[in-house]
Amino acid sequence: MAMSKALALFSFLQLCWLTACAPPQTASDGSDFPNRNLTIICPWAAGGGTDRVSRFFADQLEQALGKPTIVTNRTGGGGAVGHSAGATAKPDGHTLLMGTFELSTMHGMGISHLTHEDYEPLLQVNADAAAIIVRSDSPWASVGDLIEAIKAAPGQVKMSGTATGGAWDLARAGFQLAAGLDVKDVLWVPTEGSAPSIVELLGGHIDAVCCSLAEAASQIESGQLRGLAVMAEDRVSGFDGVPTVKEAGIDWVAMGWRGLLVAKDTPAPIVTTLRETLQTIAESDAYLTFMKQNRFGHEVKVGEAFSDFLAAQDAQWQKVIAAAGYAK
Amino acid sequence: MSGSPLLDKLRAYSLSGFFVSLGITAIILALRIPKTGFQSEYDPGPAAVPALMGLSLTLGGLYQGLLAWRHSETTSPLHLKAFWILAGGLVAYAVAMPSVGFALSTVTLVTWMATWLGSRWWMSLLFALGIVLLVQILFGQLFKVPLPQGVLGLPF
Amino acid sequence: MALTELLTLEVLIPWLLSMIFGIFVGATPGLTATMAVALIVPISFNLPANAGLAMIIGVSFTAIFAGDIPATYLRIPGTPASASATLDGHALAQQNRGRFALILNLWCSALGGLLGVAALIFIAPQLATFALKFSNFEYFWLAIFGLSLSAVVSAGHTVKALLAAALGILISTIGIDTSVGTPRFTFDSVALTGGIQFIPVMIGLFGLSEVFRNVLRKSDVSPDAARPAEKVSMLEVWSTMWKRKSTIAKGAVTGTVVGALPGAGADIAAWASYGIAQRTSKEPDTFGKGALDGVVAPTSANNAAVGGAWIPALVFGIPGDAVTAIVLGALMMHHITPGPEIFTHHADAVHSIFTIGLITQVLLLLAGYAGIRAFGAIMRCPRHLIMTGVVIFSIVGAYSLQNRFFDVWIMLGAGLLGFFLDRHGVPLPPLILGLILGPLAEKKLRAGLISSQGNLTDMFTQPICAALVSMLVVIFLGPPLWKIWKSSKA
Repeated sequence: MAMSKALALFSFLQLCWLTACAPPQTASDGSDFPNRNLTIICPWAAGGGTDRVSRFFADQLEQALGKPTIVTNRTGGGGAVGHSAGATAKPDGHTLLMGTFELSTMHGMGISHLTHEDYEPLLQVNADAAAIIVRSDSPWASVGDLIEAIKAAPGQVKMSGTATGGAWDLARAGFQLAAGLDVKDVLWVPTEGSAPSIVELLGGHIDAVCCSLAEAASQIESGQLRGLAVMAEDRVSGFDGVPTVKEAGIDWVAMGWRGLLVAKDTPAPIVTTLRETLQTIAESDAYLTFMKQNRFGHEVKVGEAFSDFLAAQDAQWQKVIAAAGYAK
Repeated sequence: MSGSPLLDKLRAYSLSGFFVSLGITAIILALRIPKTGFQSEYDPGPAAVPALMGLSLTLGGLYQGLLAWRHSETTSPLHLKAFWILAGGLVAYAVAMPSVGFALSTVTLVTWMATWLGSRWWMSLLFALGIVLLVQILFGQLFKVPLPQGVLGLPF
Repeated sequence: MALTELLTLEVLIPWLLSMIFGIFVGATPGLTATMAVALIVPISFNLPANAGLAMIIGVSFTAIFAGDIPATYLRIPGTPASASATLDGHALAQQNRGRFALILNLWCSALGGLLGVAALIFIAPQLATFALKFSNFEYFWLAIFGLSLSAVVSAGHTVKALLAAALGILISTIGIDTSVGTPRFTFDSVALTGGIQFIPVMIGLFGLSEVFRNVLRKSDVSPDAARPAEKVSMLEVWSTMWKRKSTIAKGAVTGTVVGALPGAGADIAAWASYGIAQRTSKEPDTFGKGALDGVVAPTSANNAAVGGAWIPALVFGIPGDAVTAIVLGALMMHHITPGPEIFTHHADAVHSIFTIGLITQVLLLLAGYAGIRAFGAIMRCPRHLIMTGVVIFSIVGAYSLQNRFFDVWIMLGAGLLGFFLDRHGVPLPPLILGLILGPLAEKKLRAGLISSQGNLTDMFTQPICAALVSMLVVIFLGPPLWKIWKSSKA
């Protein structure tokens, strides 16, 4: 017994001692980058679209840089947990974040304090515009019909796509404001995302869904659902039959995006290395094929261009949040 | 440790005390959950369910207290010392692992714990090395979980 | 086509290997069936389509069964769907009948899986159409039905069971509210905005608290407390199954239907089946003390649910759970578009899925035996070494869920809580039920109220709601009323 007690004490002291010693730091001017495994943080669950894109980049980065690259799903809090993990990671370029659309909206909604300025943006890898999607047997043939229906019975048309105040809810709120409607003229039923909303739509429990066309691709291609309009500058390739809301005279664009970022204060040489490597991957045929197979929109903006895009997104969504009366 | 009547009393009421205090705290905190401007008028709101659960815990806890008062439900006394030693060891392990690394902290904890539970120290050490190797192969290689590296800069 | 193309070595070897991999992942607390599939998918892309599909389907069925192995032997559920095996399965293991319980469990899993796949083959379109009728209030009542099972698994302490369920629901509300995005009980901590993941809670509540209990009764962990090896007769397993054929059938039907609902999964299926079996049993009091029906019912349901989840996935392209979500992504990449037409346009692919699903059940028996044997060998180690190993695997398992220490602390906290509640006779399964079903009940009730604009009558008069409410009434008021009626006649 005495022996085990002594051992216990010894082990504990050993632990204390080891805790006190700081782990050795590798000099990071970027010359030896990468010197350990890389991690891509995905703020959404395994199996979803963002996870699939993250895993594609992990695989390609591993081949390009020769270090094992792992995808870690840090889910929850409407994306806040994963985005925060990316911002607070050690700024040595070994931890990347697959940031999403929510980074542009969640600080405005009071979910998180994070903005794009807490990161060093590397490059945008995807953009999918918001779209209004209905059942194939819906009486509405165009977005004009939908607006007429909303005007005829305010608060009776039911839509979903995310939680109330979530990304796709803001997209449709902005659309309604641009069309001269009140935000409350549509009854938004909260769900956890596009997949459960599509189930509700197919079951006839709601009238329309606001999400990207890619998220409803299998139902659209099999003829169960139909895109009414897409909130983009131009029609989306692969869904050429779906008109833009601009064609109906409504000046509104809502873009969901995905992009890779690293923590602020990552040394410039490392950022440059990562940008160059990632740009090669994002412009490769393999990536184009992958995006096409998944019906994701291919959109690459590197460095400054990506930063400017993020700043513009921020301004756009702040305006919508204020106008819709969503600000806390 | 079972002799003191005061301790026996405390033990008898600890469950009810736990639920009542938790319930009241939950109600107070739930009432302070901020309201959003855009919440639907038909939505009972984010505070409704937590407040209701807090109320249930309070009432149920009070009922447990009443039972304890009427029957003085007794639980057998514990070797609490062993409990605190183990709990302390685990906390120290979890605190140390991020900086010490998985391999070293685990070898230390397993060697200590197995010896404490009654095996010879060299056997515990062998067992500890085996466990670290197994976890490293399973998690590190097969399941692709990055375990904390720590001071030695070992691959795990 | 399918059969001859599937039964080649190029397909069978990766298939069986992936299933053995599934055993490891499923048996490791903290790593779920979803994780197993996510890890297999990248490998499967480098193989021919059939082999890849076989690996994915195989791994998803095996991981669910494998979760029952540590649940039975150690009272630590390996996957969320195996939490109910900590009741009767573990009670049997304590009577040195663990191996028997697991072999019975394995055969019922395979049979349940078989029936789930059969439902997929024969009545997929009908069942999928039925599943679409479930909207907010329907899911709300389903969740309430599940929560009411707290009283079933309460072992006589009904009030304490309800307290545990309320505590579970309260814990589940921590984090960003999923309906309007309001932070609740987060105290400005980013980690808490993500809420408390229930897997670390489950590991701590069952696994770690069990270690504490054992350590405090030192006799149980002393090096010479090893048990004699257990002999299992296959004849006994089969005759047990034959006697319980109605429980297996009820479990498989419950599992398939619940699995086919896009908003529910194998975990809810297992609990619902357990509750129905207990409520319709002639000896309800034996449940929780090693009733064989309590082993058979949940395990036939959770594997049937895996097959059930394929139904809305193939018919409407809607994933029933994270596993089918991953597979749907993979199918799209192979240019197979799920939807009502899939059965005619992609008949080949559909038939491969059917055939793979059926053969997987046979292979499950092989991989499962290997898993039980391997685990049985570990169980013959001295108890104190096992307890030490359990501690390490609990911590690493909690950590590996999201590679962060926050979950380790949650696990340790849950271990202390579980130990405290257990000592005071509070049953722990209701806490898990509260954690799993609380969010479903809250979210769906609120969405339902918004969608119906506060119309409460819809909540009871919608056909499926009415059916669920009457089921609730019959199951809970039926037995006592039946007793009163019988005693008044006597």
